[in-house]
Amino acid sequence: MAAGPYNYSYIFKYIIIGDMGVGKSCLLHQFTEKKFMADCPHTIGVEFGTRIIEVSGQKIKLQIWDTAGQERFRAVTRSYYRGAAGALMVYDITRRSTYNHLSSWLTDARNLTNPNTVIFLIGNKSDLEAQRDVTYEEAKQFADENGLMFLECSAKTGENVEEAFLDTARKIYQNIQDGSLDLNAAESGVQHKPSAPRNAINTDQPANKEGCAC
Amino acid sequence: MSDSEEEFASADEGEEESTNSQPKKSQTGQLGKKEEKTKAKGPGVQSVERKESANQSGSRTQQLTKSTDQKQKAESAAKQTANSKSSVTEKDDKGSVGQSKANPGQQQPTGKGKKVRKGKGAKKAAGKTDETDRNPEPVVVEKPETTTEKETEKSDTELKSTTMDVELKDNESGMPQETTSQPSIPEQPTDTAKAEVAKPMAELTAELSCTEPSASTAGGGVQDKQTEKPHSMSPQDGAKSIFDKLAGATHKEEKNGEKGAGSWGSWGGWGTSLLSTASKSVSTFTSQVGEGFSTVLETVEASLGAPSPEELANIEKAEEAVKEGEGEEGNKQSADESKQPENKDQRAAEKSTDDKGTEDTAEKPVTESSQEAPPEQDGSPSEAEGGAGGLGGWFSSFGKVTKKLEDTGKNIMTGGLDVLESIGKKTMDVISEKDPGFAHTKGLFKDKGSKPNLSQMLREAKEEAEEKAKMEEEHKEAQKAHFGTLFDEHQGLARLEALEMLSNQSEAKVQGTLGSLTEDQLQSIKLELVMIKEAFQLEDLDEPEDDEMDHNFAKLMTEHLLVVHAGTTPDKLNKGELFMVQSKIREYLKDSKEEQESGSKQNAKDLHRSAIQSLAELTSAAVGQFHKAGELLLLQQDDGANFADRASSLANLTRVLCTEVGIISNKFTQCMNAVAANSEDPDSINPLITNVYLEAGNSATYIQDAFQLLLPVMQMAALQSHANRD
Repeated sequence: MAAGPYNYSYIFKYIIIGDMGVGKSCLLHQFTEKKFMADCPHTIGVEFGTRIIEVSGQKIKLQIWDTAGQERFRAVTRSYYRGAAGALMVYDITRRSTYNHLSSWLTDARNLTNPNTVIFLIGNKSDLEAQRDVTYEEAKQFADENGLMFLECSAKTGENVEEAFLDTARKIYQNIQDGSLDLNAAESGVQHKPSAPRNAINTDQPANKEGCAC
Repeated sequence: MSDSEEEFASADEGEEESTNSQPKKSQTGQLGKKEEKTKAKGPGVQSVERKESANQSGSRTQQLTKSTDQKQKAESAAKQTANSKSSVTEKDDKGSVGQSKANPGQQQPTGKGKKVRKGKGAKKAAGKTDETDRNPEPVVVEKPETTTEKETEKSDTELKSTTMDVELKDNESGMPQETTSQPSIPEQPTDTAKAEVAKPMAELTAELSCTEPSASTAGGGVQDKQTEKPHSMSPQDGAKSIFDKLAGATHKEEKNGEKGAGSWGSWGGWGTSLLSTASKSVSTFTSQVGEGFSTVLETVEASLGAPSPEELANIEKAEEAVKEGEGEEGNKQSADESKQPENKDQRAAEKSTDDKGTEDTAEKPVTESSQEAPPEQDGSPSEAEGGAGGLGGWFSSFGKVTKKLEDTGKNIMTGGLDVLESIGKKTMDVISEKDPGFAHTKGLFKDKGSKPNLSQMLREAKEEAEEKAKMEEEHKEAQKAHFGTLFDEHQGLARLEALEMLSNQSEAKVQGTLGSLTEDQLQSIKLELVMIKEAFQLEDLDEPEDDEMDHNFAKLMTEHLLVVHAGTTPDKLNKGELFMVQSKIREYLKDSKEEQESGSKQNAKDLHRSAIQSLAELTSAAVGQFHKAGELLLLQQDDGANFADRASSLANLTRVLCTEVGIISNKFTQCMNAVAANSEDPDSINPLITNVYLEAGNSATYIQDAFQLLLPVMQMAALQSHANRD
């Protein structure tokens, strides 16, 4: 994973939501490990992934919360929305039901996150074009109507996976630059590390030395 | 004889002055004379003395004025006479020889007497120059007569006799001149002068038998070659001065009368030789400038240091008081004390001539330099007056001379610098012609001074980069063994945060649920909630529960987890991360212990890093386990399980985890202690061991915190279960 916690300027919290089996964990795995996990077990509650990216010369650590899609975990996973800077809402293009549930997920995302949270709509399994059940156009229209960013991706091939995560990060960063996202807000989902590496070292090392001296 | 001697002396003076330094020496000579007089009367009365000296030696002053006039006339006359001299010289010399012979005969026997008389006369005339004015008497200026006589004598006398005469004369006349410059006469130059003088002396005396000119020429030659060169910046000046001298000499001699004709031949020869030497000196001037200048400096310095004027004055005064007859010795003493005894002998006479020559040579540099530097001043009355002074006058004149020397020296220096500069420029031009890029190169060289060095900048940048890299490496190194960093790397923080969020949410729900419950419902559930809360009290966790350093972690964990999850725990959790991590750590410890027992050395730092990494990983896994347990607790509904038992199982689970952390840390520190025991520097390992203990405690704290976060979750689960049951 990432080399260290202090090699970046920001921490963006992502939360991946969507129906069970749309490939949320596979997208995360593809993004963090650049590998496709064929038989992905059901996620219990929430799993975590991190990756450090660079946006506009700023290193950003993405702390991604991959929630369980099972309906029974819904109550638990709702606890994890809070403080998310980005929400990846995933549906399966081969399964219309997952698309139809988007409004429910979107409601949760809207209600449980702050207004500036970037919600990115991802139509996964774009590699299965033959089994497509949801057209790009209607999903695009849905995204536009709800002010969502939208991409069709494939966790299997990795198509647009990077773009989805990075575009979300760029949007969040842009919001920070615009000032529309208040970093001081408790639930902005963004942690700023202005005292990035150097001070972190300085504060860490003395502690170590003290420990050594004991 | 006295007359003749006086005449000789005066003649010598006149001649030598006119001959040796007509233009130049005339000044110095005059000055010297005047100075001598002034000295004789006292240094304090310079101006008066000068006047007096002028009055006393009206002839002198006349001569002096004449000499100045002579110079001018001489210049014109010299040209005329120069031609005639050469031809006349031989005849005159021969003719003069006879005359001179007679004189020598007189002179030789009366050597001492002459000397004495001459000494007087010389003192008067030369004594002026000698500084040692032993002759308070006014110096009789019978020079014209004496000169003729002397010249005749000189010409007549053989080498020795002539030299004697010359010496005497020189002592009388030349000495004065010399004496002025005597203080400035270094011994070395005299030696060299002697050597050089000897040759020309022999030649000239043989040919011309005119010792004076020979001596003078010899001296002149020496001067020209050695001393003149440095001074005579322009060869023409030197030549002119020589001409002047010649002219002055001829002029005087012409005035002197018949006998003067005898000396003419010698003058002519001397003039020619002077001319030749002058030309030679001019040709060799450039090459010998430095040398000559150095010698001049030496001579000046030596002269400055050699005889302190006061001493000389005292000595001379004393001598004057004691013996007038020995005045010559005194003169010579003043000139060269070492040569005094020799003066009495004939051979000594030769040396004295040499001395003259050398003195002349030594003089000339000074006189000539003074003359050449400001040629106009030669005839200036001020100098003449100044020169008329006694001791003080001599001093002043000496100062002037030295000043002139300095001036000339400066001129030479500047001239030499100009030459060097021109050479340097030429060299640069040649270089730049051959190398077109030289200008650029030169620019680079020039810029080095003002601009910072490129190499230095690069070096600094490199050092900076190295330092930065080193710091980053240290940072990475520190991070590799930093518990917090590693804990976060294994998602421990995220798990803890998620657990915290879950706990907070549960806490809020619990409070909300309890507020909505009726009194009966509350009573029914209160006991269970209290029991759960009590189960979460871990008082004795800090003390190791079991002394047994090992326990079946997997078995205990599985048992407790089964109770927590009421047997419904997913398979994934049972074979989850925590077990894998624990078994991996145990495996590593087992391997490292085996390695240690087999004797292979281990790095304490590596062990430390492994320990911290293991603790962080284990702690993160434990937190994750607790997080998952909490999630599952919330999911399970209506399974009829006892939440108090679940809570105690969770507490046991925490204890097991903390014990495991303690065991792992102990095993790591044991390995590290073993390494430290074999290490040369155990002090460097001890801090690492204590750090492992510290982080182990940190790990246990994280685990217990996570456990405590589960309390609201457990309570919430109990409430949910209770509500469902109802």
